Amino acid sequence: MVLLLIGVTLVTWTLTNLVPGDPAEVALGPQASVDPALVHAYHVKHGLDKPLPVRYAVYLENLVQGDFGVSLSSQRPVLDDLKQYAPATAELAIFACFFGFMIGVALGVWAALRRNRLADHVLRVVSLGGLSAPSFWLALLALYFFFYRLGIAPGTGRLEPGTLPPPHHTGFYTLDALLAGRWSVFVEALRHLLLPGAVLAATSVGYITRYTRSAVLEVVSEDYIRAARAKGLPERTIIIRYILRAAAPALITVLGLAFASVLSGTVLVESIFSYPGIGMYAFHAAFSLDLPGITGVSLFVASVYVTINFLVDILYGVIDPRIRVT
Amino acid sequence: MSKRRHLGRNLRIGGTTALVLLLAIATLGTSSSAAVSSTTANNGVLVIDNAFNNKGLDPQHEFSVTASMAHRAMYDTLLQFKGTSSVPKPDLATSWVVSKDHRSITFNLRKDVKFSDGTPLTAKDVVFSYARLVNLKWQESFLLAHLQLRALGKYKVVLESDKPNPALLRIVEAAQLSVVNRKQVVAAGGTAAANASTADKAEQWFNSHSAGSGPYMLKSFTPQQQIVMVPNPHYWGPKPKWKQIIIRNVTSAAQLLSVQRGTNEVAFDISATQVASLKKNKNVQVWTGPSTSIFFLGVNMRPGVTQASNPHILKAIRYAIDYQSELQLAGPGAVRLPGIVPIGFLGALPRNEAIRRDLAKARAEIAASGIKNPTIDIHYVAGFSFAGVSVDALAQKVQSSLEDAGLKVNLKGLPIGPYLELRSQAKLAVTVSLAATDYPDPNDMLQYAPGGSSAVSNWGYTAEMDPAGAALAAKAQSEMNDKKRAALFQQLQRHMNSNSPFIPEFQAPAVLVASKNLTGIVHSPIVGLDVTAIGTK
Repeated sequence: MVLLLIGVTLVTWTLTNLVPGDPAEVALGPQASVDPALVHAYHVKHGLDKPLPVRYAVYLENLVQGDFGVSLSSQRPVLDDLKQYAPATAELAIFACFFGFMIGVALGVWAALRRNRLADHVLRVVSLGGLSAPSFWLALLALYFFFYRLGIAPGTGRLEPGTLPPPHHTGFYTLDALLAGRWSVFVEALRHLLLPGAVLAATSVGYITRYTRSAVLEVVSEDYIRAARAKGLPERTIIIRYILRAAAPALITVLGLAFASVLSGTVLVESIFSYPGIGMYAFHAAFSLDLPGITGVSLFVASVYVTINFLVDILYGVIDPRIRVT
Repeated sequence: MSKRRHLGRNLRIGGTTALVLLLAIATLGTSSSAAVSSTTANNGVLVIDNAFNNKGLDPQHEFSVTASMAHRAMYDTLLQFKGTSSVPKPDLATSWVVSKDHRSITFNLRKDVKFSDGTPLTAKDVVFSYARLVNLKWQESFLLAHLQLRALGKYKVVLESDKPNPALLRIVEAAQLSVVNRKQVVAAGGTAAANASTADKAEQWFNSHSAGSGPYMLKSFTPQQQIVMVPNPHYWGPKPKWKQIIIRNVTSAAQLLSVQRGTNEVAFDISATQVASLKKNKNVQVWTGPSTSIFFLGVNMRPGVTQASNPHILKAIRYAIDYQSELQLAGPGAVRLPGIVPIGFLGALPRNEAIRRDLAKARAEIAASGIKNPTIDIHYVAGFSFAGVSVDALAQKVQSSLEDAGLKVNLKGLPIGPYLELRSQAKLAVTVSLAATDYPDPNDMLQYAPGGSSAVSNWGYTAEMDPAGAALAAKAQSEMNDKKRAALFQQLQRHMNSNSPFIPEFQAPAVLVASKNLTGIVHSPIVGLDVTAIGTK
């Protein structure tokens, strides 16, 4: 895994620094960037005057010490930026994936058990709609109906305007508020997760439902399921202990991918809800040619996928002893 | 009941429970949300919705609209503009004297000003702030190019220029020339020394502290979320109107919804086309008018880059553009731009002098060029929009206009990186360009005159190419009499409208939408919105 991450740094750093364009021009603005002295001062300050291999060596040396460099746009250490933005996205991802998984699996099981009946057809159409609907469109609709029209959901951001964030422990406003004993902030943070979480869940419910349906259909006609029914076991027991258990590897795969995808940042949803997560950070970094920021986000996203895949592999072994690596 | 029906019932119960749980969470705190709204209404909290474009809050490091709005509230400058007036008013300086040779201005400072920590403000703080801006060698350092500020006493400073500069009084109002508390900034690692560009360490400190003497001070700044300001207890002026001012990061689409539901709320980034949907809404007020930002086409005059640099093709482009159609694209509040100096500035051309579309003349110019099937590339930053104007849509309008006249146009929309790369290589052919002015004086636009910094570096428009234009620009730059200055700038623009590679299109609209009960909602040419001027009926 370590070698994999080093390889990722080489690829992401090299590609990022080969992107055309001088960050000094973006940072200094059109008037100041015509002054060669100012541009040179900027290059020297940020180490951009050194050859590429030297810069990569310096970057790697700093990276092993936990230094991701300084963001050219926020002027803060990239690690500090990631510590601020990543937990926001993680909190949203956990919220969205929890509801997405619960609802998606339930609907998938229901659709599979009612195969080719009306409920199955309806659910398949609905899940296709969830998959096809653009997330930014869903986000705008959700904001329009639930915030503007009905007034039952809060507006954008992680908290109401003026509410100070709770003291930082995890970066999860809900958890940190509970740890600080600020119940009202906990409720506020939870409510602000609703709309963006629901939009992200709607997208993931679509394919979780379809995956679950396929996985359950593969198992439901097996002889041991028929035998269990013949023995008179309750249907709930058959579903949970037999069918879902057999379908679990496929479900864990799709959950892992869904979680990694949301955790990597959903730019459009975060933008519309002004949710300051890793997606918004990545967008700003890309637009302002913030090379350390872009590299930092790329490394973070790569780490997320590598870690999630690793955890999924471990979970396979836990669920199915036949898959355990010897 | 069969086992399957039993299961189905359980699933329905489970699903309903989950839905009820979600609705409970949604409504839980609805009363608290309503309480927050009534809190903002009753307890004096002003909310400004703005799509953040700042990095931090260091006044000498920032030139974004977001930061400028906050700096106007937290800092003072020597002079200030009020509302839409372009006449400078006293702020930290109570009076000023311009020298006979117009190379210096002596400012007398107020003696009763204290920073937010109670420290008295003196001339040393002003000198420190100006020197820090210069020596940081950052975006707006050019504002003080060829200028030097020194103290003449505890409450007197003199700003000296190596040549007569009629724009000085307007430059000193820029937010980047905010006066900071020297002692506080130095204690935080800041410096105004010559090596400030590498030695200054105070930029991050400004993200959690303010060091100003303005009516408000910083309570908290959460990057990409909100800026919260509270009254400065040591403020020398009238009592601040608000208990809190919050500038929060909201996209324009969400601003449109939020401002209609909010109280004491101002939306800054709603476009002119979006605002049409608010016509019948009695809960909000709308202000529209031209901003000081301009859109224009720029043609690269370097040999061999583009056929558009041919004088006849250049004229053809001027006559071929469908200016009225572009105005409709920009929306209400946008105005035709007759010359490179925005309307409202000293020396702006009368509106009726704006070039009119004339396809017959355009075709005649193309024929006169002798170029068969002339083809030009138009470069622009793809996916970028400003003041609600999509640059992609504008480029397409230009393309269709020019093709009506017989020019073949290739649109080259590029991401920001490759665009800047081409610009640094001087390979951009014809550009859809935007200029946001740094201070409301026509001297700021001299960068586009022949031999001007931007004109040369971006478009290869040198003084040697247009000696008459360069001479006019030099004369206008140093003329101190406003009436004569205005006449010279108008003469320069008429000359440039015939000879320069710049084709002025329109002045971008400024739109402000606010709660009905608020007063002082007007666009500021310096900071976008003067939050300290906002009150309630």
